[in-house]
Amino acid sequence: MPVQDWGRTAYHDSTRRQKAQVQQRIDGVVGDELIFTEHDPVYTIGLRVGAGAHLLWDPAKLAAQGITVAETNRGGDITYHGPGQIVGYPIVDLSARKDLHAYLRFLEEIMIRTLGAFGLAAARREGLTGIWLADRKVAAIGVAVRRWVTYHGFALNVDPDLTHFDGIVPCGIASSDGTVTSLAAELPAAPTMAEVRTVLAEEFQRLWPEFINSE
Amino acid sequence: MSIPVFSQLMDLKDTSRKPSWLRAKLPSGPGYQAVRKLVDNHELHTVCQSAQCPNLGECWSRGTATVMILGNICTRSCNFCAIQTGRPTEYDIAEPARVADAVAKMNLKHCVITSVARDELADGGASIWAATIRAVRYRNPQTAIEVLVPDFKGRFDQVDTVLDAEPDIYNHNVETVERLQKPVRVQARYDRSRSTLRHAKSRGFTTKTGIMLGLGETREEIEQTMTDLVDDQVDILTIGQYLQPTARHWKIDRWVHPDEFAHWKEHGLKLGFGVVESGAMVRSSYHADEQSEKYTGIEHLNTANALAG
Repeated sequence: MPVQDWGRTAYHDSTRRQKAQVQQRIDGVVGDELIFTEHDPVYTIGLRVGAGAHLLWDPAKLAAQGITVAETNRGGDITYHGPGQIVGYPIVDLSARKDLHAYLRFLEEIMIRTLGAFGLAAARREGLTGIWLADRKVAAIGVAVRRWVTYHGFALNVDPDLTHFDGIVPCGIASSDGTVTSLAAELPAAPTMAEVRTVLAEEFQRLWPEFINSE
Repeated sequence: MSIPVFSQLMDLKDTSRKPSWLRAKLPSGPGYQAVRKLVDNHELHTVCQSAQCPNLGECWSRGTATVMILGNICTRSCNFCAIQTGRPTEYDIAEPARVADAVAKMNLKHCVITSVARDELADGGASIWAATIRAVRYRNPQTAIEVLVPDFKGRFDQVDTVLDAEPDIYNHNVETVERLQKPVRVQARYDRSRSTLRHAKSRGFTTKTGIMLGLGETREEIEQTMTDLVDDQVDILTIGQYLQPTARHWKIDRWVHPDEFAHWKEHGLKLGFGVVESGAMVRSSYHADEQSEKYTGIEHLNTANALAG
């Protein structure tokens, strides 16, 4: 499966590009592709009711921190994207499977295996989408589909500015139920963004055929 | 089949004194010091220390140790084993990274990793197991990875979590003959342990198990156990002398003569095991690199196990 690296992008630009790619996938102009990017600092508000209320900072504070706010049509609550975080947008055709929950579990498995390679035993938490290191969330997942072609995807914290998560209630999860972490915060020597992208892509490509071909 | 009568050579039932063939080498040299420092610096446990292994001196002097993950306290209370029983407190999601680094620094071409049983965890510790295998492989792509795992209470989903990480050798010890399972292994069961070995084999993995002699088993029982394990298509069998850790542990029954160990090796190979390591000092990880050369090596790493389909 081809992998694209869009480099650093503004959130709205990448959403436009994703939608164009989805249309091309529906039209059969392109095949399944995995896209990586790294966003300018942004809070994105998902479709969950009440997600907007989980933005804590006022416009002045947001401007001072250089963080913009964007509404989006992915599932889930509010989250943060920014430099040091790998964002993965698989634009893939799910019509052979037609199971969004299985796809979420598949994305989680990719990240569990990737984090394992870097020496961290990550896990799922019952009822909480995303990837956790004990009660610390290291990756968020939020997807959308159009005619069973997926867009949006996952965000894995390699070494972002974790203080930027203070401006929101991340994913609507109160700090008593969990906090946010990164590979750099968990490991004595964190891998580079490029290393992590490579392993993510390898695991994705290795597991995808089995996933899409099972019932 | 005739078996030599060893009792004429010496009184093998006099367990108050160790026979000459059980003298362990004392730890020495730069290799030993380096391993000791590595284990300390990486905050790792080793089964060499926790199980009071008689081979520690020799193996560490060769620059190799068997790391024991998931803590130093076991939820099981097997009567042969020196590892402390209790309620474990350690659960370190970054332990796999330290294990991988230690394996890299020991520069092992074959590493053996083991763990305590963690029956209190929802996944039995399988996710730390899987991450450990992946981390060791990522850092050490040329190193064969042998895992010596608990029975996961026979939960194949947990066994699968470990197998999905693709260890080169799946090792789980049945420890003794069927009759002595309950008194010696307490919470473990012969059938359940065998079922996990069969499950790993059904997925094409190289499997390995081990038994101890000197626990009170009969020759017929040893033969039956070996027949059972060959039926399970186990590839590698280790047979060693039971050593009683303390007076409170299961009473040692006898010393097993080297000629008898040699006999069991020959018997096992005839039955169909790929490799049988049989000797008083043999333990699961003792010279494991040489034991399993047939099943590892470059062409067998990762998914390309010797018997993988």
